[in-house]
Amino acid sequence: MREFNKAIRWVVALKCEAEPIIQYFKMDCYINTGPFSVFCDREKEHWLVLSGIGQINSASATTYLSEISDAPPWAGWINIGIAGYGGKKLKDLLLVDEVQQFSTGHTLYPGPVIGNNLRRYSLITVDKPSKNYKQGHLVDMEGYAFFEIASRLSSQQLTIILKIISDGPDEPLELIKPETVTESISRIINNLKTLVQELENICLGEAKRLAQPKAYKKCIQTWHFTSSQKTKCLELIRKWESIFPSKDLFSIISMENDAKSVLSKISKHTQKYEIDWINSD
Amino acid sequence: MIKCIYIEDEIKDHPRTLSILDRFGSTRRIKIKRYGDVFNKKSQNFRLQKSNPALILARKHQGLVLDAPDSFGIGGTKNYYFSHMFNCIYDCRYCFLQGMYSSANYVVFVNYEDFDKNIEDLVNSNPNENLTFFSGYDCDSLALENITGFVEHTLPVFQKFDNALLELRTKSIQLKPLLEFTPMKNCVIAFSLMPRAMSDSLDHKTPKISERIKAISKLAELGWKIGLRFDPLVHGKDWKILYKELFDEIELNVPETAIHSVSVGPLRFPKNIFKNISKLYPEEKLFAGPLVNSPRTPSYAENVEKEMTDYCLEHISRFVPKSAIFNCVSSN
Ligand code: SF4
Repeated sequence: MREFNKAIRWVVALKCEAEPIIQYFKMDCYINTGPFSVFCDREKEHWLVLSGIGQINSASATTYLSEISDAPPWAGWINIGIAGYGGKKLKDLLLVDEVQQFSTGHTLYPGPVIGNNLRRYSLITVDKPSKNYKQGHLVDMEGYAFFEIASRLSSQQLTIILKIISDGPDEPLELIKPETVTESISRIINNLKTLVQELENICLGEAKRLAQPKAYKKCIQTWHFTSSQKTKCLELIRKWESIFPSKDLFSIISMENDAKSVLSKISKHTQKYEIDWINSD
Repeated sequence: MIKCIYIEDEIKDHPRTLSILDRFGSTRRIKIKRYGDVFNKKSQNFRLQKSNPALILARKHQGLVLDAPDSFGIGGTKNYYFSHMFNCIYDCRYCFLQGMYSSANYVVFVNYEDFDKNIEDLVNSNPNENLTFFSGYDCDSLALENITGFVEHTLPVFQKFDNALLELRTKSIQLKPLLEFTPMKNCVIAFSLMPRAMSDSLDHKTPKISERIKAISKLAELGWKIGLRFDPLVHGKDWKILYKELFDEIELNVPETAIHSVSVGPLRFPKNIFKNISKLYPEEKLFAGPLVNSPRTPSYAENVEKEMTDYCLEHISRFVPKSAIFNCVSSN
C-alpha cells in the first residue's frame, strides 16, 4: 500500500496577487530570510513562493521553491498573476496554452490537462513593462521563464499558467492599485479551488505511478543491496505489486538473510504467475 | 474531444487543412512553425496527454514512404510503409507508439498528394515487382477517417496500380469509406485481433472483438479482401483455450475465400520502448507476464514464443491455406 500527499507549488510575483491564495489555502510563512519568501500550509501540501517581477526572478524562485519544498516530480505547478491584454477586459480566470518569450521569439506550448471550461489564451512574456498591447494576446513578465523551469521539474501537463487581466490600452498598468489586484484574485478564488482540486487528483495519480513502492524502501533499509541489485529489486517489486496488489510482500521475504535470497524469493513468486485475463479487473 | 488544434504555418491554407478545420467550429487554434516544436518536446507526459490529446496539422517533408522492416510481408516482393498520421485514438497497452513518442497528440500530415507521388514513383520504377504498401504502422488507418478522409483519398490512388497492394491496418469499425467504394482486388483491410478476454483488458477505447469480427464479416460479404493480424500473441492462463475460441469464431463468421492473408507476431518490444511503456503503466499486468530480457527486446522466452506461434499457426491452417499465413518475427 502506498499513500501520498498532495503536492501543489505556487509561483506568484507579487504579495498582492498571492494574498488571497495564502489565505484560502491557510498557508503560513515558512521562510523569509532567504532570497525569496516562501509560505506553506500545515500539511505541507501547498507551497507558495513570492518571486518578484521578471523572468530571472521567476525562474530562480521556481528552482528555489522546488528545492526548499522538496517538490516531487508529480507536483502540480501553478503560476498565477495579472496580465495586460490588448482587447476587451475580461474578469475571468484565463488559462495560457501558448507562451512566447518576446526577447527571443521562442515559444512554448503548455498542454494543460485541466481547466477545460476556461478560456485559453496566448501569452507574451516581456522584459520591461510595455504599453505595446498586442490584440488577442496576454502580456506578462514571468510566464515563459516559469513554464520553462517548472515543466522540466514536473511535466508540461502539470504546469499551469493562469492570468487575470489587469491592464490594457485603456487602463495602463501604473494606474492599477495593489488592492484592486487582490480583489480580482479573490473574486476568482472559487474557480481556482475547483481547478486546484482537479490538478491535485491528477498529481495523486502521477504519484502512484512514479513513487518508489514502500516495500522497496523497506527492503533497502533491511538488507544491503548493490546498485544493480537495487534496480532488480525495484523491477521485481513493481511486478509483484501489479500481480498481487493487496498482498504483503514482507509476508514472504521477511525471513530471508540477504539481498540475493530476497531477489530470488520474489522472482520465484512472480515467475510462476500466469495472467488470468478472464478474471482480471 | 479535441480542445486545441496546432497548425503549421506552411499548410495553414492547404485545402485539406481548411476542410479539417471546418469540422471543428470554434476549437482553439494555435499557429506553429514546425510540428516538432510541440510534438517532440521532452517534458510531456504521454499518459496524461492521452486523456486530452490535441490535433496537430502538419506537412511531412521527408521519409514519406519507407522500407518496411524485414518482419513485414504478406507475399509481396518489396514492402513499404507510410504514415499519414502519428498516434491513435485508441489506447492499447502494448502499443509501441506510447513508448516511441513523447507526445500523445495526433499529428495529421495533410499533404497526401506528396505521399501519392512517392508511391507512384516506387510503383513505376519497379514494374516487375509485387509491391506492398502498409498503412497503419504509426496510427490506425481508419479510426480517425471522419476527420482525415485518408482512406477516401488513398483508395483511388491504388485503383490505378496492378502490381501494388495496399494494406489498411485497423481496429476500427468505421466502415463508411469502404462501403462507398467497389471492393478492390489490391486492397487488404487488415484487422488486429486477440482473444476477447485479453482485448477487453488491453485494448482500451477500441471496438470489441465481436464488433470487429462483425465488421470483417460485412466487408467480406461485400467482396473486400481481409487480413487477420494476430499480433501481438499474448500469453496468460488458458491462452490455448482463449485463442482456440477466437479462431473458431472467425472460422464461423469469415468465409475462407475472403481471407487474403493471416499473420501472427509474438509480443516483442525494443528495449527503450519497453522501458518507457512500463514506466507509463507500471501497474499493467501484461508487463508482469513471463517476459524475459533478451539483449535487445523484452519478449516471452523463446520456448513460450515458439509454443504459442506453433499452436496458433496450426489452428489457423485448419481454415486458411498455408500459403496465406505469415509468421512476422523480427530478428532479435
Ligand atoms: S490501435 Fe494500433 S496504433 Fe492504435 S493504440 Fe492500438 S496498437 Fe496503437
